[in-house]
Amino acid sequence: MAALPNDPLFQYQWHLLNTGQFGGRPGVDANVVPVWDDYTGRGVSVGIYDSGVQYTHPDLTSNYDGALHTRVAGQVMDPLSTDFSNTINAHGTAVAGIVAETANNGIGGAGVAYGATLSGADVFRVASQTVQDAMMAQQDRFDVVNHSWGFGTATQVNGMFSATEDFAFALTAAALTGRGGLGTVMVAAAGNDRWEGDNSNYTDFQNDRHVITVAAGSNQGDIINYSTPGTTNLVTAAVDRNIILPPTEPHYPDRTVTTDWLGTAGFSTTFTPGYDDGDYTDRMNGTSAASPVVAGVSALMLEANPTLGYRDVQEILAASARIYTGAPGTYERYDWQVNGAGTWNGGGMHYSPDYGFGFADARAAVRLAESWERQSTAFNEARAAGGPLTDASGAIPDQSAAGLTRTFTVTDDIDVEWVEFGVLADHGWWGDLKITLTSPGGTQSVLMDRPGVSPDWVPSWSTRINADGIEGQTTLNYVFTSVAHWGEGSAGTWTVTVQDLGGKGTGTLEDFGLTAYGKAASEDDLLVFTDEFAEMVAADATRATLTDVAGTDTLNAAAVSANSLIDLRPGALSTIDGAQVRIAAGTVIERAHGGDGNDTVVGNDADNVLAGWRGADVLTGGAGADRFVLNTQTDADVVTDFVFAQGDRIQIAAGAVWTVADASGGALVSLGANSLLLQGVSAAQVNSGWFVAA
Amino acid sequence: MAALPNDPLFSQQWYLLNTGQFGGKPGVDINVTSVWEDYTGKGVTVGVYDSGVQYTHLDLDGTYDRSLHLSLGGTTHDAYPSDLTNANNAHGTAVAGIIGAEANNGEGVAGVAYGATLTGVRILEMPSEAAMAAAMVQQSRFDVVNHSWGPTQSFVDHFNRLLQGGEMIALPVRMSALTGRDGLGTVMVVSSGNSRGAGDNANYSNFGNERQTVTVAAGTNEGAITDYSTPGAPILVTAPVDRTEVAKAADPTHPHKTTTTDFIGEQGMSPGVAEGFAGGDYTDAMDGTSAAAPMVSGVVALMLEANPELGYRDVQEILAVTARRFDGPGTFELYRWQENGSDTWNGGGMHFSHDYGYGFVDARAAVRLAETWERQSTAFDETSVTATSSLGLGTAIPEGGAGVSHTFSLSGGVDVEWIQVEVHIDHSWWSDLQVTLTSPDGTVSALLDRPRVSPGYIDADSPEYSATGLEGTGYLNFVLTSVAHRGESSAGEWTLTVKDAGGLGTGTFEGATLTAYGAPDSADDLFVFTDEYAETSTGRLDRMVLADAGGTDTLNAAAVSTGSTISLLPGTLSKIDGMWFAIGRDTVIERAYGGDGGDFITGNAADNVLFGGRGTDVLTGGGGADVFLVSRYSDEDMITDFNAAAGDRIGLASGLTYTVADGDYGAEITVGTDAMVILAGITARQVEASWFITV
Repeated sequence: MAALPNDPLFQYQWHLLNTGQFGGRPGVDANVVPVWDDYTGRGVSVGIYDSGVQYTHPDLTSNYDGALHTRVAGQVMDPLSTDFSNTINAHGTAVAGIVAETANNGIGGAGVAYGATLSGADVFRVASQTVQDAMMAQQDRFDVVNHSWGFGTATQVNGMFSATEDFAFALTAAALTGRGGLGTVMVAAAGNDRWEGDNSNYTDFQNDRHVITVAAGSNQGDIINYSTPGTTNLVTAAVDRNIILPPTEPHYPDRTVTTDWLGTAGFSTTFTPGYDDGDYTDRMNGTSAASPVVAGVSALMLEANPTLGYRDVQEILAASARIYTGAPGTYERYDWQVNGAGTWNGGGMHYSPDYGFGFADARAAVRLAESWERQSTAFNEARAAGGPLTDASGAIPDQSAAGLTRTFTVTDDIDVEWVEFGVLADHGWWGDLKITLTSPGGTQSVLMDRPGVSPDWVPSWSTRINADGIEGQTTLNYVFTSVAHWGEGSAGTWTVTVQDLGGKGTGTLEDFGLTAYGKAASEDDLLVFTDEFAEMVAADATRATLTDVAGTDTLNAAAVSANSLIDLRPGALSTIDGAQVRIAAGTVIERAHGGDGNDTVVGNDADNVLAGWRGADVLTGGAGADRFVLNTQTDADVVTDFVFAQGDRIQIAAGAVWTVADASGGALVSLGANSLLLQGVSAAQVNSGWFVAA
Repeated sequence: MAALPNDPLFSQQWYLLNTGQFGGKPGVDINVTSVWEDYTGKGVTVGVYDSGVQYTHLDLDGTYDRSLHLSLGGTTHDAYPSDLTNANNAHGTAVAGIIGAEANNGEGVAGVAYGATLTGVRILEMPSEAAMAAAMVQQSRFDVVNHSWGPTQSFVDHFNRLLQGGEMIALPVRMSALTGRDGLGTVMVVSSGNSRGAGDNANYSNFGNERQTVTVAAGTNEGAITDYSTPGAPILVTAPVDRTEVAKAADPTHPHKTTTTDFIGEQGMSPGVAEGFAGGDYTDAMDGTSAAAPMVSGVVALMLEANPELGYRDVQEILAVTARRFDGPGTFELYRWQENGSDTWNGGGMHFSHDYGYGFVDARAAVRLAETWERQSTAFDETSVTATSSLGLGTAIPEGGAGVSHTFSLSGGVDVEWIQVEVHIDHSWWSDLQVTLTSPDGTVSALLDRPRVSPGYIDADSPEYSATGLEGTGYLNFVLTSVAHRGESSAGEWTLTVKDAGGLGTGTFEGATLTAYGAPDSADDLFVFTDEYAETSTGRLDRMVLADAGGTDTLNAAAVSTGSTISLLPGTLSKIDGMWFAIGRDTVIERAYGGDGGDFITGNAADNVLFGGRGTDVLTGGGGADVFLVSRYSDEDMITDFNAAAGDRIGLASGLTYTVADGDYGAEITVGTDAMVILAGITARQVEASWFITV
């Protein structure tokens, strides 16, 4: 465990380390502290697309790089905050601090990725939409871009679906050209309009499949009452406390503590001693605070593994996200579902349009990033299409829970990440409409849900209460998206149900079409395990058996913090996260990654690749030509049965310099402070022929 | 006149210099040879988005820059052709040669902009839509991009984003206009297509009709439209690339179409081509709008060398106002020439035809305007006004007859460059449809014109013949554009008419959105004169009186090749292109640019800016504090009344130095190496450094 940052306000930054201060539930945080042992985001650039940044702030300036500023019409677009008259414009400075406020400098607090490089683009103070589009077109200057902003809410006239084509395409372009073609990782705030019946699917910005959309959670581990739901939400970050008070609410030190405009300007004014003349604030909150937490986590992941495609970053965040079981859930609109994926903790992934896949977990995400052997980009993205039907059109029965249902078949089978679902309908009152897509795996995506209708719990004093929702613009021609089907197969029968649940209008469904995006179908499976395995298997015993027929498969338990016993032999019993899991007889898994604990990893008769990672691990290859991984995160691992003649090898980074010495019990092969002890082998036997690159 | 290039095949390149060889009409060429005295495209990068470029070719290897090859998904994309045995792949090599084959190397041919830097992109062989889009996004690496290709189907991106392929082409085009050339915009040039006989139209693709592109038609060596060049309201200009079928039939071994580089040796288009073509390294079989677009790309490279500060919209404007009519035999024309409602081109409206756009490109005239262009028009100062009919109108379109009309009342404020109409039509046979837009000035844009119905001159046994059209049924939601209204005001009643001119289907007009894009209306007018002033103004009093109220106005005759007499004094006569015109009695024009001839330019009482251009010019400022511009290309100009005390100054481009000496008529100021201006009646000793300003 790294020493905690010496910054005086760190103790208040419960979003980084929640020990129960301010009445929060201990552990409801970004779980980033253990990551700082190894990574701080160094070398990763994060663009803060926001209201400008006061980058002269002593806690930002050393991480800030003005050379990355965007250029528009031949001019450098300098986002330095210069007009302090409107407090809301301190927003970008607060966001920048959450991502990468300097740590261990004895002032203020710490950012999630406090070693990352920051730069800003002021997308608010622009002369025209064209200028903003041009700044958006330059996201490929950055490795990560944070967007703690969006367009209007569903309740505003024309506020729905308001991103322009050019704006939305800039998101595609950054995924194509950013990071040399690996794709800029774009992170966006889901919105703060749960009270108003908004949904993150109602804008071409937040629902773009190149964007990671982030919801906001409470310090109790549940959804915050304003966080906008939607099937485009990927993960949640905890940033606030759930409380409903009239607008006269005093401030509480339980939001997100971050940098503020210097002096009394900005969000600050008064607070707990130590808030240094108002250079910091405890008033930042909203999905605007949640998004930069995830942008920071992304920066840590990219330092850990710079070869990740933007799609890998999305997948890892989803697979490593967690649920805080037993949290109050007072303001949830949707139930958790387990989708039809088969490779996450032995089965499907948990998903809710409130939370996405759950709360982002920096430690787990970075562990998966380190051990990730795929590279998924725009260039190897697969797609499968279904619909429209010739008989798609039909009247939507008025005020009917049954609604209008259409089924259609997708023939091509891909491993789904995102689903885009286009709808053409005519309806006189969009606030009546609910559209639900059901996959062959049985997962439901509520794509449109009575836009503008406030939830039941909105207090009567709220000006945002609205029973009927929005009228809309008659013709609904829009593409909704969903991440809820991540890991499912696309092939099979899909169902769309269009319900008119209000009495304000009537209409017809005209046409629709589905495109699923993801990975080409492959027999090479990646079975991911996390610290949630025990509770998932407790709820579903089928997860306790791993069955697979072919391909080169990987069991990745790198995200697991407890000691694992991974036994790849068919029929053998393993223990992960304290729970038992059996690899079925006849199932051959070729590769395994241990987690942070002291793991025991046992290979089978196949040619295995075994990596112990952190902890004192014991690796046994068994028959076959096995590879044992030695890298900069290998602690003192032991290989019990290294047989060079059998083809066993040590897998090490190309060009890495190793040493070997005789030690108790065998030859100790070292890579700096990291080592593998090859039992029963003498140092004299070890030569360069024993090493291979990955 | 510059010496002609010494390249042995230059005499075959009638499109560069048409002296009547191969039966052409002398002068039907792109008028580029005199430009080469000053510009060859040096320092301008041109992306050749095509089938690859054989950059090892002796006539290309010196101008090709491999360091600009794109990176796609982390891999460098080498644009060397993938398969030299496939003759179709020679297309990009031929296109590259037209733009920038090396000149004066004693080898082969000369390119239009033979000093430009070329880089290829094998856009026709992209492994995925993502790679295609990534390549299109990276157009912004180049100053100019040539696209001698386009989609083969009409309306491929109708209705639903899920069904589109087109947006991955069209949207990067818009982005490159924002980010290319550091915000001035990459200039993207697109061929209009070769499907006139199949009833195609440049408007049926959102690539060819994007307002950020320059769309180019193909003409003949007689100054007419070819029988294949795809027409349409988005077409800006034409370039001459081909001979008539009759001429070619009479000379079967020598097509003498566009002569350019080919795959080295017998590979590529060369087999069957005449001896003298250096063992097949060259071809004279290149043709089509694929040959026309790179001629314009080359011209644009010359313009950008002449003035690197031009926005992409300036380039479009200059190409349009300098284009000319040859009025060759119009056998295959489908549309009439119209005179639009602009009032600043040769004293009145601009000529436009859906066959030719504004006419044949003229490199010399375009470069002269580029040199003297005072504006900078980019995506960032473009403005627009919009009007929308209700959607879901459901108005039945009658079979035959006058059709359905909808009138849009558009507000003023836009000096129109492009018109965009997004139509919603539900019809069971799109090929029956004709959609026209009539501007308040009466100019008619034919936006949709019986798609895929062959014109009357196509034989019924031709493979592309269709009497009824071939495709499209259902809901048509498509964006159609027009450049025909350039220079008109947005203000007034625009009428959209939807007709059913065929008998195969029925349907309804559901609505439309009309948007006018252009520059903000301004009192600062730019009156352009060209070598067509005499022919357009003969018998036209309306064109012969220049009347204007307010603003800082410019009379630009830089494109005129003969001597002009320009008097800015209100109520006096001037003569341009051999034809008189009068400045109105109450009209004050502040600035004047002369052309290539010996000009006489007289200012008025206002503070004038006067420029003689090439030729021996005589400039008289009159009252006011006048600025006399001198460029590297000024020959020997005389200023008759230079009065420093009244505020008169000499304006020099940044970086130009001068020396002063006494001469026969006054102080002789030598600017740069060649240019000279004489201050009549002033001695060298009197000349002060403060008389010179940087402009």
